[in-house]
Amino acid sequence: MRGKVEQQLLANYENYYRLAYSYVRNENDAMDIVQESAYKAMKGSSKVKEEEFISTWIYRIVINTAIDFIRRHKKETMPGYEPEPSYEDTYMDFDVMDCINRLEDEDKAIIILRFFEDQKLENIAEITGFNVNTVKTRLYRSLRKLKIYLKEYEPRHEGV
Amino acid sequence: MNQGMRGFSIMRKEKIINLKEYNKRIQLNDGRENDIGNLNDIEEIKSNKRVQDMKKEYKKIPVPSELKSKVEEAIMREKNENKRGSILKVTRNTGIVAAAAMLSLVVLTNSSPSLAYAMENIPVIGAIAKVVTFRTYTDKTENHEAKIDIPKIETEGENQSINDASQKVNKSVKEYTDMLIKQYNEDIKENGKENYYGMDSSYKVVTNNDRIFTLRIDTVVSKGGSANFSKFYHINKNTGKVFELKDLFKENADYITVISDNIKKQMLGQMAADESKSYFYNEADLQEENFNEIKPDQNFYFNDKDELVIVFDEYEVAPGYMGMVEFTIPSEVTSSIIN
Repeated sequence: MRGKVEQQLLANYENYYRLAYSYVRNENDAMDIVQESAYKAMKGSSKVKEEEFISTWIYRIVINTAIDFIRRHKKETMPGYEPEPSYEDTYMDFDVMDCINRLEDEDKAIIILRFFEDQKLENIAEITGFNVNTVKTRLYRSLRKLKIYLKEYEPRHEGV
Repeated sequence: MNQGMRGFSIMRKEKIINLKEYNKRIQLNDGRENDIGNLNDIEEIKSNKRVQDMKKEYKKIPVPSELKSKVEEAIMREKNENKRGSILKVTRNTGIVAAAAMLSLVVLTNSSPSLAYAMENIPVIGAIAKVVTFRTYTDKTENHEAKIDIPKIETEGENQSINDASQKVNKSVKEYTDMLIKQYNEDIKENGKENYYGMDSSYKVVTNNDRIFTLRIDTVVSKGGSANFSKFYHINKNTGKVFELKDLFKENADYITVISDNIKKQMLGQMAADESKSYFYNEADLQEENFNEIKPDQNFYFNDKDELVIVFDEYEVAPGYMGMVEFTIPSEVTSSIIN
């Protein structure tokens, strides 16, 4: 299983990076998160009992590490003060990131995994620890926040 | 990992509670919620232009070129720490049916004393006995390999109780090694011809002073990773009796709790002092795997300073990279209950 975890890490590190980046919006922090996640995944590889769970399990580690990072970072800054995401080493006009950033931590992951990484709902449930119905509910809630409507609502939206 | 995972399960609990509230709210306030919930919608959303655009944008997030080497570095770092590198848990089901496998079974009986001497460094137990390799079970096929040494205590003296105790240990050793051989045959059958499986078992005399004789059998099972486990046998040379952990303590003394509590304290202390150490204790995401207490017949031995050392098999109380772990119990911890 260790070997398989290593394979997955080397095959998918770019996906982990983009996911981490969506949380921290900073190159160096995102790299640190991926690196830490890779270490944690290797170290804990004995905990994965079935090969089919490796992929979802690593995603879970990346998300936890990213959320932990953000919370730790928030604690270090003044209470009540939301730090501005640092843009210095990234690009400015990034619509997706601005949108995604409005979502709650877990909802970010759900949207990214479902629509950008094409993960199945069942896998997302596995990754986030929510049940499938909860994932769906959160998905729709996020879509509304992102102003993405189902076809039936679209004409109304476009007509504005 | 420990901290991350712990954080995660706590976070998850909170969120589940909040989410219940949230669901209640949106069902009351938002009629549109009733229209959704159909999986087909999701395919529709995926083809939505805005979603498509966002996906394209997302995939364009540039990945720094040094990331790959950073990931490799993390993997290497962990590998270096994990000298034993392993994930395999040895199943120790004992209700095994012997497999009638097609094996070349070689039994080396040490009929001549000179052969026995040549094969092992023979430890001498006081003046009364020595330990020899009674026989070695070997098997070698393309992907399967076994070498299981079966030790035997030989007594020379007149001391009947020591002779009896040695016989008793020999019997237990034989039962144990027979179990290993059965296990090996079961496992290779289950594992298939094309997958590697190896079992190597050796023995060692750990203690041999004027009071105590301790024989230890160390087994390594390799299957991609490896698993190490041991079994200890003790003879009290004064009484000529075989003994186990419980026999060290006064009758009805709660040695299990006393020793387990001390081990828990040591685990926490070690983890706090050294980040690379990890034990299955107080981990929110582990439940039944968390260390609770030692087994009544937990493996142990006495070290050079005559201190009690408790031994755990690999994976028993810690992740594989920690290997087999040992805890030396300070004598003052057990002084009031020891015999």
